[in-house]
Amino acid sequence: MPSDHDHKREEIAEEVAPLFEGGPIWRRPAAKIFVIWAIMTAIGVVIGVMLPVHIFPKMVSPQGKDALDTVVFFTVLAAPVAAFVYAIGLYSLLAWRKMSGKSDTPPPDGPPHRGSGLAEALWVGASVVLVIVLLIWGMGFLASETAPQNNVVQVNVTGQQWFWTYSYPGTGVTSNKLVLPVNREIQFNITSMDVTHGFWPVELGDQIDANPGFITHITVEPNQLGNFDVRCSQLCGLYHAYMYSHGQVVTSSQFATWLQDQGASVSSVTSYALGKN
Amino acid sequence: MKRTVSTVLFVLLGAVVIAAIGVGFWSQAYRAPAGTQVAKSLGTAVVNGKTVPHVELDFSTYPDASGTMIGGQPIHPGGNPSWPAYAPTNKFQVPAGALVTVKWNQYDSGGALNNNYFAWPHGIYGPLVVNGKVTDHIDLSNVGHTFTVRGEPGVDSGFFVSVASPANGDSPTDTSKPQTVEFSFIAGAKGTYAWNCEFPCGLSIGGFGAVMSSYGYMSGYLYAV
Repeated sequence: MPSDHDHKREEIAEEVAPLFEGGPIWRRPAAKIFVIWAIMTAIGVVIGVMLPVHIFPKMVSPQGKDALDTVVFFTVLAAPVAAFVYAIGLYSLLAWRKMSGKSDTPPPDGPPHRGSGLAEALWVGASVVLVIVLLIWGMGFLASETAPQNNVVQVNVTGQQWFWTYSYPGTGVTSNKLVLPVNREIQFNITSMDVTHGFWPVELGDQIDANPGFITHITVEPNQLGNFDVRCSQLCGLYHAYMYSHGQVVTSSQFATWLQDQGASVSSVTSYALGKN
Repeated sequence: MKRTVSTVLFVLLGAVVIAAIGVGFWSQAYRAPAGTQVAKSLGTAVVNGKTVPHVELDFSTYPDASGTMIGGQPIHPGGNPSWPAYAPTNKFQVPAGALVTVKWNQYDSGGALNNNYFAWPHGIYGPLVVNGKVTDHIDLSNVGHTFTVRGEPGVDSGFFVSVASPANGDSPTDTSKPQTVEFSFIAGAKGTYAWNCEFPCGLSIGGFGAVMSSYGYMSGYLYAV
């Protein structure tokens, strides 16, 4: 015997249109959700394209530009997926909110959708395509960052709690300041003396872990003169927040002069600058 | 009515829990025992053709924080009395852009650095004087502590001072025989700078556990005002 409560639920259920049915197409829930999704996707794409360039620092290397492009690309591709989730949520909140004059009793769930081959194919297919595109893009980007190059300027980077030390092989120069020549490929050989740190020359747009007993590599080519910051991107202890050093991109002649000011011989600087180290 | 009372009680209970957590954190917060050392004025000095204030900071490094070497008052009340510590405080205030002369008495023992970079002075103005003699570096295998101050982005990012002191292995508890270190540097722009010791004088990985991972003993702040 159905109770009064059950009768109320059935009455309310009659007011809720099925997802793909009921009246003109623009009044159906699916159409409304689609409109919300389209608007939110457009907003997400605009945010993805416009916002990162204002959030990121000014990049001074092609690798930094690539990193920024990657963030934009990933955000734009993620926008429709996120918008789909939020569109359904927003529609549900609006369509089934408590309205004055209506019963406190929530409507029953709609009929479950089962065995829809088209829906499953779309869902799985779209997810697979998106993930593969992102994977290919990401792998390509990482490969370009770590590929060994010829005649690059080598810089050995050592992290320790809570300090970065940079040495320039063959010159005898070690510094806490990271000075780099402009328009030259720089290969960083990175390690740690103690715990895991994260070598992050911010405006160069790259970062990689510094692991004890292991050397990691990244390659960048600073293409603008100026200053940049180096941070630690792995929580590494008490003074992690202060594990900072100052970087500077200078001309080739300024770079050679700086090395000599640090005690390097002219011959070692010449050899080093040619990438013969 | 009953529902309202329950709601009020629930909110009050939440407030009490949050307040208790706050009191817990507050009771455990580090408090500098000796406050901030304001650098002593020595008048003015001419640096690179410019007249700037000349001030002096005085501090010591002791083999333990018990305070027995300085009259019995613990350097870090409530802390670990067996850990080495800077004293009388770990907070220093200097005028921005001033010439700062540091006089450092080092009583603690030491050992080898894990990064020789710190054996050489960096960012100082004038000579490094150790035990009355000018030197260009400290014995790499016999370092006590370092006083390493760094800039931060937005707070004189290029600022950097690092000086090591020799270990005092022979007489670490003899207050009449410290290793003396004297050097000067030009204070950075107005702001707060973090300093710490880069000699691995703690325990665990790389010697940076225990005292090195506990604020106050081997770390602090330099305020440029």
